[in-house]
Amino acid sequence: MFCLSEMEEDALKEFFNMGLGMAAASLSQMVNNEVLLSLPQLKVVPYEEATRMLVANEEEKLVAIRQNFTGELTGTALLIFPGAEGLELVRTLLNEHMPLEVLMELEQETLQDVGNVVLNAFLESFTQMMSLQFEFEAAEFLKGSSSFLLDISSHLAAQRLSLLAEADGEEERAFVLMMDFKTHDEEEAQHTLSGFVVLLFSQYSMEVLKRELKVILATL
Amino acid sequence: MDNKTVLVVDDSSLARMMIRKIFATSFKEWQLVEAKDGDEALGLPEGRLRLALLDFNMPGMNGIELAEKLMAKYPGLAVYLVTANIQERMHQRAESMGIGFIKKPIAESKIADILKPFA
Amino acid sequence: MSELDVRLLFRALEVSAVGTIVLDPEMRIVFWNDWMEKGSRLRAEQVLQKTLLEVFPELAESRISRAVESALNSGLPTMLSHRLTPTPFPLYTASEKSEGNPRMSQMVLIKAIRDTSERRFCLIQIQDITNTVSREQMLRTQAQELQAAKENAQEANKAKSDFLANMSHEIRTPMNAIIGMSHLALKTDLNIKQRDYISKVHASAQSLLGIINDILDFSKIEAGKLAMEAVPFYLEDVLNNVANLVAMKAEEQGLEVNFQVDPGVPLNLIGDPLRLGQILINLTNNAVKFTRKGNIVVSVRMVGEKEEEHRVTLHFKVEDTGIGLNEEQMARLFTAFTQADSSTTRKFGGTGLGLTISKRLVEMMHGRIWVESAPGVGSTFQFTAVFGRKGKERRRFRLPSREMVGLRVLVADDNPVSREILQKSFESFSFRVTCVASGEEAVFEMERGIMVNKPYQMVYLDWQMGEMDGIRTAKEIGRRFPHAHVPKIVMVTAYSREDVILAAKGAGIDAFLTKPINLSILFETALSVLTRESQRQPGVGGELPVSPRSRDAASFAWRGFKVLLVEDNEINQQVARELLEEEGVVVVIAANGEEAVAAVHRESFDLVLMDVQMPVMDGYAATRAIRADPAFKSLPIIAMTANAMAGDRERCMETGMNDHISKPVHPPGMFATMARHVAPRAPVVAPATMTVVREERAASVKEEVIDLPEQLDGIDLAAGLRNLNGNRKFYRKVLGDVHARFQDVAEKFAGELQHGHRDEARRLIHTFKGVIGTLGAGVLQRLSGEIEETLVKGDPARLPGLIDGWKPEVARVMGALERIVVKVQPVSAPGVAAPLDREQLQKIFGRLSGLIDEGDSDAQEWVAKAMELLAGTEWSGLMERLRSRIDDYEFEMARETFRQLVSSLDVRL
Repeated sequence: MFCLSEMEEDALKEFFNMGLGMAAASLSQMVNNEVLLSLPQLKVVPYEEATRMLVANEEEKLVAIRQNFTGELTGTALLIFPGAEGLELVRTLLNEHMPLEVLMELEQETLQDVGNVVLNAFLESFTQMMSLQFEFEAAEFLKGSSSFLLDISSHLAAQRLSLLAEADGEEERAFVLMMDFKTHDEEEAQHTLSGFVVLLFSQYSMEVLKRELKVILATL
Repeated sequence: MDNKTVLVVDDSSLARMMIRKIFATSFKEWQLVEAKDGDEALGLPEGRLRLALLDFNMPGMNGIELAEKLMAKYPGLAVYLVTANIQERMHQRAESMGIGFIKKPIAESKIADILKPFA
Repeated sequence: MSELDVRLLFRALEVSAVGTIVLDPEMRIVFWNDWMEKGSRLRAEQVLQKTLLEVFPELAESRISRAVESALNSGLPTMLSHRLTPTPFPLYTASEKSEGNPRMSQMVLIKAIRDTSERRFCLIQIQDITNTVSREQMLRTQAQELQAAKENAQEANKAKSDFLANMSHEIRTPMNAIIGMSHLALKTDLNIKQRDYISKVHASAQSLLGIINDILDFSKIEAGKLAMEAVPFYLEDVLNNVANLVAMKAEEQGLEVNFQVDPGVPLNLIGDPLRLGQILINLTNNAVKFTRKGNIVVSVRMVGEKEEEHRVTLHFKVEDTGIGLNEEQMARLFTAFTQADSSTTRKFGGTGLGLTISKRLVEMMHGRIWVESAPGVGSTFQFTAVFGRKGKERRRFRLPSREMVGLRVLVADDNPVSREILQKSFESFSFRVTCVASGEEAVFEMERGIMVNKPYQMVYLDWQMGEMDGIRTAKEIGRRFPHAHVPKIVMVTAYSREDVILAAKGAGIDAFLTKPINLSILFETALSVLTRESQRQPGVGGELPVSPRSRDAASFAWRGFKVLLVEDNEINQQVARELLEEEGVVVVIAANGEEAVAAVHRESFDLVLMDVQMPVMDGYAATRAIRADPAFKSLPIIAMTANAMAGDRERCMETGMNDHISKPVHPPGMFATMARHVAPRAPVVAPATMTVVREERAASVKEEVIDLPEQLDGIDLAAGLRNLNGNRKFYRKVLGDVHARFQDVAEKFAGELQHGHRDEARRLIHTFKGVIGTLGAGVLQRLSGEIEETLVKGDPARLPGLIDGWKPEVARVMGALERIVVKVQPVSAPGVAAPLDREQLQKIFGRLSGLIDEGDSDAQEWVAKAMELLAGTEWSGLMERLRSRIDDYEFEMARETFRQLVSSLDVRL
């Protein structure tokens, strides 16, 4: 069964932390507000359980920006906002009073841009730390119930690559890396919006990642 | 040789290892003291610290809170936050306290820059 | 792919409607399509092989250049919307809607692509979205205009409601004076004419106030300013409040108002209790107004429940036997400013707004309101409303002990509606109920009960019923049945309690209840009556307990409380001051906020009543100033305002006040509000006669009750307690001791006389007389004294007669004492062994010894007594064994155990 050593896990968390740190810095610039981050959480669990972990309330409406990557590492990065928060973010970014219907029209475009900034900053830390080749697809905007958006197998299926082909009898597992963030408005002393970032890897990618982590740690 | 001690506080052992490696290869005159969080750092026996490199996002107190306490404990200590997450507001707050920044990922050149005044 | 195909594709890209640039790994432009030529006004040959930054130097350090770098270095794609990218490509639009602004709004996609040798190139695609953006601009302008218009309208609306708030204040201030002063005037000595005038002034002012409130509510509803609260409340409290407000008027007209809550109606709700109360009061008042004789029934049942949402729909009904309405009248009923017709308006008064307001309120509670009626028969106003549910509780009436379950209750009432309500209510407490319609039937039914060995333990008698009213019935019950079979008697009346209490004196009534009856009061009364000793002895001191309707505020001891009254208006000062002083409150007056702040620093107060609108410093500022000092953090401050507009209350709370009383002041309401914020200090009613058995306080109350019963046959507890300087515990102990020592005094005394021991007999009766006198058994003391006197120097021939009169009284007192001995012992907590009553033990064991020897099953009874005595001691185990052996008729073995006990307890037989 796949597992990471403590050191490897620690390293992965640190990459994640760094990546999201950069992402937070970019987001902070955009919303002109502080962005607070939680400590990263990392789990290696079967797909099904991963989905359960993420889906607290099945009916909750979410919006997400998904960026798939393929190559030596194959997986999905998701930036997720509770439904209303997405609109709120758009409102904050555009800093204008606008009728709801106009806001909704702009939601997709704007969030896609935001997601791009956040996820790119985040994924860049991975590309900088590891000498791996992978291709990124353009960010996609998704909207729906959490049970749909957080269904991990659907994301993996969307990759067009047969990730589930490794039929060695072992249950298919996924990495789930999660980190919450929220913007903090000092003047109004309140959190204005929150969301979280999820990173999913295929089984094969996990092995690659582990190998890569070993290399990095060995050089230290 | 001057007894130059640097305190490194980061909850990630990878991050500490990376810093340790840089010091061990390029800045051998420095002695390294490590802690994994603020409480551990503050619990260290008193010594002559010259420099502290602190992670920002840690369990317990964050880097800025720790910096404040360390600066009270070690007057004259130079403090840097080592983080990828340099946000404007945090930047201002840290700057007003006299705290510097090193952007993650950490690299030898970045450490070299901040060590210049100690040479 | 063939050459031709590549050229075709190249051509397709050239003419594409999307600007397309391809950069090589060194950021040099290697492709630039037609679209780009048009937008940039630069031809391909001018830009090819130049880097992007050479062509557009202004893009340095922009998001575009960073995105290009990250695509080339890391392969990361970027989408830039025109909104977040302040410097898109400096291009010119071809859109017709540009209106002199040739700048193009763009959407840019930057992506890495690889050539055959895996080198990363960068593809930039640009879309002209100027049209979309200008349309959006237009929409935004429209929205801004709309917003401005909306703000204007809100401004105007606010001015209107401010005017209303002001008017409300201006009207209410003098109203306060009128109502308050006439209330006070009615409490002074007036001749009949004056009283008539003043009470009419008072009543008119009240109804004027009602009209003003209606108009204010109506305008609030019209202005959409009426907000529904969603707070947890208790349905019974709302009904109770309605009952209190409506009862007096109904009573004046000789009407009965009954409340009926179906079992299964959840009582803990979430919603707006004030508004619900307002609807019910309105409908009930209407019913009272239009009914000259008969009944008014307010009932509640549940019609729907959404379990998962914790929501319930309740159906409220107000039925009357009044003048009724015809079809046409019903149709117009819920429209503003109309009533049945203008003649009824003149006859019955009112603005006709009440129903309109109720209708809107009901709609805001997601319900509907309607009426069923027939002229001359009566009307039924009904509405549904949706409430949130708090918790899963359905019934809060739980009997404190299993023994009370299935208790037999007899209800005698000539009114079928109230019979039914009482029956359902008692059944919901899990009592067994029988209903009869007259006093005669009640007595008959009681006899029947005793005959079939199912006696009633509690009887509820209506005061007013035909030939044999409640009082006569109660007296008859007391006269006809042996003492042991006399149940608890509760008198139910629709009339003023004081009259009935007076009339019922000496009839042996255990409690009184006033209609309309409310479930929790009914329950509390039943419990307190059942746990109390009988009230039947005439001449016994102490007040008759009354149903606890009037507790809370009224029974709260206000004497000695010190209140700071902050009020600028002199008349209002006088009104509030006299109301307070009447209850014994010490009042200090401050005429404005500044004086108030000074006053709280100068002397200490239990509570502050704070007017809000005052010169110099208003109530809000004063509250903030007082709260600024941590010493006054918990000083209760209650606002008194004539502003009844929504938001005032919230504002008071935000400023740090604890509560809010609206003017004109409703005196009971004022005291009730105050009572919520100050802790009782010295209750007027002695704890022993309190009838409240609230669950949360049950423990302490029970302790008191058991500690010392409220009544003891033949003993004046108050006098006895006085004799012992009020030491209840000691008194209880003495009562037990006397019982232990003198329970066979009659036999002993007879024995001494029989044996000619006159001196011993005299000493015995002398000691007994003294002791029993201390206890407060006045009658027995007097009788004993007479015997002693006769023994010393009287006519011996009188002695037998005296003794014959004395013996039953001894039995009565000893019987009463025995009850407390039996009652008290079980409460001594196990492990905390009370000092052993050796005398009693000696006696019980003496009896037991013989009974066990003879194998007499009476031993069971005495073992039980011994067990009580030894409960919680080290001997309880042995006692348990003894009991089980006796229960099994194993007397041989029982004797064995008994011997062990005797030696271990060191009892001499």
